[in-house]
Amino acid sequence: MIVLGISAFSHDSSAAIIKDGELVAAAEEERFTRKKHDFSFPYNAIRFCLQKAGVTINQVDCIAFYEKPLLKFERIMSQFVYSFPRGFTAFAKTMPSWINEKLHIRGIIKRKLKYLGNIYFIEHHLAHAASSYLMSPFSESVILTVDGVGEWASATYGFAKDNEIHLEKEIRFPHSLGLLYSAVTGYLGMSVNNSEYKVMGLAAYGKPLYVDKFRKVLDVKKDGSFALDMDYFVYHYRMSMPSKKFIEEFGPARKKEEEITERHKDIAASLQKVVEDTLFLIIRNLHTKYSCNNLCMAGGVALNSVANGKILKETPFKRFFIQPAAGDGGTSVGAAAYVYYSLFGNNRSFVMKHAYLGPSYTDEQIKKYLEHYHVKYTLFKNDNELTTNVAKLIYNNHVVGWFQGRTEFGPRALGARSILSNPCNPKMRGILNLKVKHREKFRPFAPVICVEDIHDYFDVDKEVPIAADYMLMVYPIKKQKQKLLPAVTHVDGTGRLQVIRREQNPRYYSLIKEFGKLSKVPILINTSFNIRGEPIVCTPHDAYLCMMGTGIDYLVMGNYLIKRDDNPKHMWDSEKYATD
Amino acid sequence: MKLFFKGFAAGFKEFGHSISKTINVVTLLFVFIFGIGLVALFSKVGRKKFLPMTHPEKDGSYWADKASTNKTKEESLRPF
Ligand SMILES: [Fe+2]
Repeated sequence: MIVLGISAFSHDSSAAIIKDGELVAAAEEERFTRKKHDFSFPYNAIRFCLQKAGVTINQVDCIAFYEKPLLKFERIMSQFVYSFPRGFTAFAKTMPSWINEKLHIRGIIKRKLKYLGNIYFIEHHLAHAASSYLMSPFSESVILTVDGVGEWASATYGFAKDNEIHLEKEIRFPHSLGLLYSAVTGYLGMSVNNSEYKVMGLAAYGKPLYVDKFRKVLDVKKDGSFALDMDYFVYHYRMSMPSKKFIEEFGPARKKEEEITERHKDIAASLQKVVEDTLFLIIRNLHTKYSCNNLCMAGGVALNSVANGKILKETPFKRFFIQPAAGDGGTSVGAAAYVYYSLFGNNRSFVMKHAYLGPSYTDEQIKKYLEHYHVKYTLFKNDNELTTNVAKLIYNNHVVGWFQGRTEFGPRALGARSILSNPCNPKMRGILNLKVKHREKFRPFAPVICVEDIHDYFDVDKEVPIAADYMLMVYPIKKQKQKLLPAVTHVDGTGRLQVIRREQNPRYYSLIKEFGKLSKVPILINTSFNIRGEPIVCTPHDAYLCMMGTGIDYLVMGNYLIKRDDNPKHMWDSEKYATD
Repeated sequence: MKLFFKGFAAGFKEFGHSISKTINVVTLLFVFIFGIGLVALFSKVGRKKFLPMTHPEKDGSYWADKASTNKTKEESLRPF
């Protein structure tokens, strides 16, 4: 049986395909169209999934869509009715896409794909829940989903056993932990639905001095359930988010280019604390209610790796799973999995063990590309030669673009499309920022470490959750090791690590080990391979363009090594075109 | 001459775009006032609340029962 999952017209459109129980392919549309958070119909991602599964659309048994569009429409119309006569600008902006696309999704899918079969519409939070539980190694689990908003729900919980998921309770819009986080992100002068992780990074610099003020905004019950005081927000009828009352309480909103002050840092820290406390309260209550030690989480809030890193310490749960695309991008997987396993009752046999689900390119294709553009390169004869040489380059403080195998599914680069560098060099954060990333100074870089070395460098949970393989857990770096890792140690002594296992990506794993032989520290900096404001690179062309437009020194693409300085005619300045 | 016609065509196209944009906005304004507005008016008269601005509370909790619309294949075929 073949099920195609689609997520579209919200943010992070994506497609995924399940063939005979196996998740064969999954990809976000942005990687193909090069538009960050692309929400258009994921035509390219679908085409890729079908190709990878070796099937045509006629062989697909059914399609699963990641939400119930009419329920969402009902909520949006309710917002306008409630807010009338306010809200015309938002109405005029959103209605055309509803009239032209979202109200005819069945027709659009059928027409665009020339598809004749059934289309199943899976509730948004159920798709989130399924994307986690049905990809997890658990045969029973508590599930918690928390995001901005789906149709009506912004948070749900329930229990799953075998291939059945039962979501029992929900919190409904406009009350939302995700929207609270987004509203404060906007208030702090950063882009909503994009820069929430920056607020999380900023939080480490501040003190939670505004917690009491946030307690006025967010009422939390003993069981962790929450409601917002909506006098502080206007997102139910306007494109902007905090209200005048919020600004009276917290001070003026920060403008985009304005300097970040202590007040901004303290607000970020307070928000993070309130969100963490609320999550832990909910999770502790769920443990009492269900008496089960497994927890699956999904939804945009489950990308909060700082909170995730504390879950096993702060709650009685023993095991914890999140899949790499915990945000809306992952709902195509969830919708497809729900249809395959839960609706059609197929036995579960698949566990998501890595995130390498996107397109790949053979050495032949890479060579063809390089020759076509007269790019100067050298060829490594084997894995050993490649890893030892590249490890030396990194050890000598060169910045290396790493393009290997299938692209990652989800927002993090995990060693398929990564920029790698030396974490032991105290200047490396500055070098990376100057040459490539041009990030805000407060943002740390992430370390990658092989699974058996974690306990030497990090204060991690006894049983490190698989979520750490997807860079979804922040843990403290051991005090005595922090001075060895200046470039990846955040101001609070933590690191958002990626754990890598040999079987997931042998070449990447060996490279880290080779670097460890040289530096005595088997850890690399791993940051996403992209131009600022663009999606992570996908094709050899994207990767080469990115290297030549930034200050990446070398690009390792398959077995080929390309040195930027050897190809001066292709150099350009990407920073002139970069966005947020 | 060719340039003149090209420029003329481009200008005309832009004019067309502005006109259709204006018509769209006017139509949307009409729908907003007479569609949304009337429903809003009736809801105020009938005291129906379309958004739970104050989240309903039950037994000291904001968690509300979740009704599933995906229990069966038939339910799941519906976009609502
Ligand atoms: Fe979501």
